[in-house]
Amino acid sequence: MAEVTVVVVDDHPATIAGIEAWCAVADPPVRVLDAGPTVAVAWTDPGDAADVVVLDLQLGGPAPAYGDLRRLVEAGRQVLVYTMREDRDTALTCIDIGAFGYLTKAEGPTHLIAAIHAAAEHRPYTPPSLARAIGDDQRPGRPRLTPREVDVLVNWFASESKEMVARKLNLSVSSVNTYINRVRVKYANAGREAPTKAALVARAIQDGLITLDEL
Amino acid sequence: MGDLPETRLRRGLHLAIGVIAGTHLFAVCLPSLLVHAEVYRSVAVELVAFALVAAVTGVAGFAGWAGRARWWLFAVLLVAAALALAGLPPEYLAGPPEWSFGVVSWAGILLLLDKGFGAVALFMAGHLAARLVLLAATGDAPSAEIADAMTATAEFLLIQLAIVLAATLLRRIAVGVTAAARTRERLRTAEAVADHLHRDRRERYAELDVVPLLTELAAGVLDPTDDGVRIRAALAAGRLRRLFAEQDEVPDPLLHALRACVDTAERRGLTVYLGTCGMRPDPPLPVRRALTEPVLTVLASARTQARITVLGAPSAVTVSVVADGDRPEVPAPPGITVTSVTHDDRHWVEATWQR
Repeated sequence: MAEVTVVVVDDHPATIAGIEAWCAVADPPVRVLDAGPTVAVAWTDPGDAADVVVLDLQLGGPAPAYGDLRRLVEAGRQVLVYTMREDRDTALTCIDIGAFGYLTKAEGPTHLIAAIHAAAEHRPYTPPSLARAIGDDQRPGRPRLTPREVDVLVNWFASESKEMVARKLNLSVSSVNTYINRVRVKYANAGREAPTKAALVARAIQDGLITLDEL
Repeated sequence: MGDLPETRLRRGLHLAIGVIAGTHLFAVCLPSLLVHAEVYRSVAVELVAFALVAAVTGVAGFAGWAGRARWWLFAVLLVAAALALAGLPPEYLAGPPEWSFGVVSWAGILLLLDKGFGAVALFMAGHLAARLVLLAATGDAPSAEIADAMTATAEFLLIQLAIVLAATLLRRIAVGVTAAARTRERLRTAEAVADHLHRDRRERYAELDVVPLLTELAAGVLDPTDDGVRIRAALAAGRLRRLFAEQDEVPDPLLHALRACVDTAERRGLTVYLGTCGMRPDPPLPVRRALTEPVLTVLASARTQARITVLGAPSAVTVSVVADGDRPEVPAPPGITVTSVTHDDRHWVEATWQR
């Protein structure tokens, strides 16, 4: 598989150093093209050519950087939000804007590197924190999930292990993945339109994860 | 608690005055009424008035529930008094055929006794004044008869006043006695509650396993480097910490208790994630203890990291814990469903409470 490139936007040098270290040992390899405290690094050479943008929501100001996220998404960039914020509404807002993924900083390299690889291929990746936000979504216009889908999401959040979810619910690991990914595609197909969301849905249909009728 | 002294005394006084009034009614008034039957305008009206006064006296003196129907009974009494006078020709107002004055007075005293001396005195004064006004207005009675009647009435009223005064004083004493009885009862209750709390604490203390553990460690029976002893110590520390947290006033006591459990685990160097998902009911204290017990057990034997999540449902709470380390023996407290899944060296234990 080809090398994946990322640009990291985060105002904490320690976080950048950590991500660079994780990327350096990732397999398949991930290369950090550029990193910096403002979103400018994602718009300028060499960061503008990165496959994936890893974006911290809290860039200096008290308000989350939803505007920066929206502009990147509208430009067709694959954005992974990587943040301290654990609350449900922030996660759902980012997904609605068109962020490709949402990870909390409590979620370490396993999830971040997996999400970077998935984003580079337009494939969904739902870490436990995002599964929790979706499983607990109470908004009136939310996509409709089956009880089984909610069950899988909540258990994935609780155990952080698809093998254990599979064992507990008497499913195969690939079924657990399918349930989680289908939910993610339903969310990409809902709310406001964004090129990244369309790409995710298109890829899911191509992969046979979901059919047009089901959407 | 039985009847208060005040209640018993009030009943006794009512009964005593009731007996006096009843005797007066049937031994004096009724014979007099029957003897003078021919002088009344209507014997029937007099008999109805007599029956009403007797009924009010009976209810207020013997049934003892004047409190609830007091003013209704009082109205009935006034009607009865008016009827008795209406049936009586004015020239007999101060003579023997007038039977009602004394018994109406007794019945009024019975009705107003627990309103205090002032109320009774006011009633008696009002009653007397009304009679005098009536007497003066009609003015048909011979003056010698009026003088006799006045003397008899004054004597009679003084006796009544003396009785009412005695009753009032007795009641005041009884109120004091009642207050003392209440205080005694309160003290007894407080003592019982304190006893219960003390017993509870002792029981919990016994559950904590702290004293035996420390004793055995001090005696050198237990080896602090032994894994089993360490796990036992970690468990005891976690339970102690949780016990302290139970005293705090917090909006989410379950999460607070879990934070306390996590706190001791983090002190041992464990990396612990604690997250929640969804709304959930607030379980009572025994359930909170039961739900956190598996967490404490799993944390006590965890090696490097643990993930604790609280999962809510409309009528259920699940506390889930995933940790590495040796497979722990997880207790299943009553009322709680415990499930566990193991994969490689990770153990996932869930405790669920259904409301």
